[in-house]
Amino acid sequence: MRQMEETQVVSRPERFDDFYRREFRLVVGLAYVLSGSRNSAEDLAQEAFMAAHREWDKLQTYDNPGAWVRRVVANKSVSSFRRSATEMKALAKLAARRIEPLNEMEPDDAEFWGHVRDLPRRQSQAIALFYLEDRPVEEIARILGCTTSTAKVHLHKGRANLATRLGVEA
Amino acid sequence: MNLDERARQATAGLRATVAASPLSSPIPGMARWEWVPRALAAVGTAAAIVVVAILTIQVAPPTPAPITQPPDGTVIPEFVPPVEDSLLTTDTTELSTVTSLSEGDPIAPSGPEGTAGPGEVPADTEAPSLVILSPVNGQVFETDVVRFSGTTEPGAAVRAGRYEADVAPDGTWSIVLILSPGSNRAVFTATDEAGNETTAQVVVDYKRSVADTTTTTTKPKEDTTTTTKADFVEFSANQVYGTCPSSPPFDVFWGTAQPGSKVIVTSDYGGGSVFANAEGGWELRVEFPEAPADVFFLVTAKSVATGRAKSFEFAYKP
Repeated sequence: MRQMEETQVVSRPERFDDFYRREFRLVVGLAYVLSGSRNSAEDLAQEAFMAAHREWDKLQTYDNPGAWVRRVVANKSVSSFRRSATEMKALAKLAARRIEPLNEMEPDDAEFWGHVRDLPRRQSQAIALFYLEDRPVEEIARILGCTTSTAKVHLHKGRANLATRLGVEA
Repeated sequence: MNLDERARQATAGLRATVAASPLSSPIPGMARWEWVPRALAAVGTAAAIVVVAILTIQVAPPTPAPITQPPDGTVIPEFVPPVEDSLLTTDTTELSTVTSLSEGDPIAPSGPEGTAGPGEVPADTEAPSLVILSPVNGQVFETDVVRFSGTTEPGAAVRAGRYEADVAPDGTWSIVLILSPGSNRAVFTATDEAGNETTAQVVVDYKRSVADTTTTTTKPKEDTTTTTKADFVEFSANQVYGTCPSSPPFDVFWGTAQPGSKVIVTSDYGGGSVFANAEGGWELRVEFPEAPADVFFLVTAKSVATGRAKSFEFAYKP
């Protein structure tokens, strides 16, 4: 045994339950914004957390497992075909479980996030992460799986497009 | 109103909406079958409560007879405790002045210095026990995530540095820690309710497996006489590329599994299956013809024999 090279145990992984409690509502919010669906947002988030739970042995050692979950949600929310398929599935579940969907947003807020969804996919993801989660560009890049400069471009173009659609100053 | 102000307003609105919504997901990201052990545990707890309740009822004293004397409304004179004859004395030297203690007054031990006086509860100066049951000193791991467990005095807290272990009411404890490559000294401290501490340590070794340290595959040994089908081969999976610019995009997955067992690779955009060879090695090229561009998605490799699985991310980057 290399007594002279001993190192202290460095860290402790987070428990999945704690991670879930801290992040779940935030991720539901992201799913709601990107999918626009009151019915399937929670399901999208739940699917992402189930995937995270299966991978928790690995994810718990990551610096930011929340980024992984957000990437899954962002990817699952993108395609309109998959959105509608998820919506159908969620509606079936809602009917079976007799549970309430998320509350409806105020019309002004719904209009804003509707415009965000209408942006090109990467731009809408970057905008959602930037505004909804106050993420710095570096983290947005990590979540989207692109370089920081690419994320900056998505964000810049997204803001410009969004301002035009809303008729406000960027 | 500019864009940032509008966004702030919409964000606040959305957060309030989600916060007020009755989220129904009852389980922290777990599939239903993973709740079975918890449900059984809950049933066990309920059964224990029932047993305790039955025992309590059985040992409980019989219901007292109704009070009939004195009748309601009788005025009771001030209670004067009876004095036993043997306690009566005329020797006033044994009497002393009784002074009421105020809050915060120090209480000196009434016995010899450092010992408890008669009738007092002795201060707990005994350090709690602390035993590390697993892992044992010198144990070598090929994984960096290791559960440490042991026993301590019931009610004591166990910590490894700034991380607190889960301690059961009976004093058994456990904690998962991440090892650094090489030798690791894990130092645990048990602290009881009186603040007494005990420290114990264990030294373990983390040796990275070959799969973790290199991405090159090695040719299987020619001499396989010692390898039989009954040998257990741990499931492992690795990814070669992660992204692919060509169309249709593809990736290659490889690893180990029980010889002859099936490994399936699945994703939303393509998959395949393969059988592990006699040495337990497997490799599979998977195409994702429907994969969208620049979107990472999950690809899962799973051992059909053991049910173990590992997921990867892949993106088509034309």
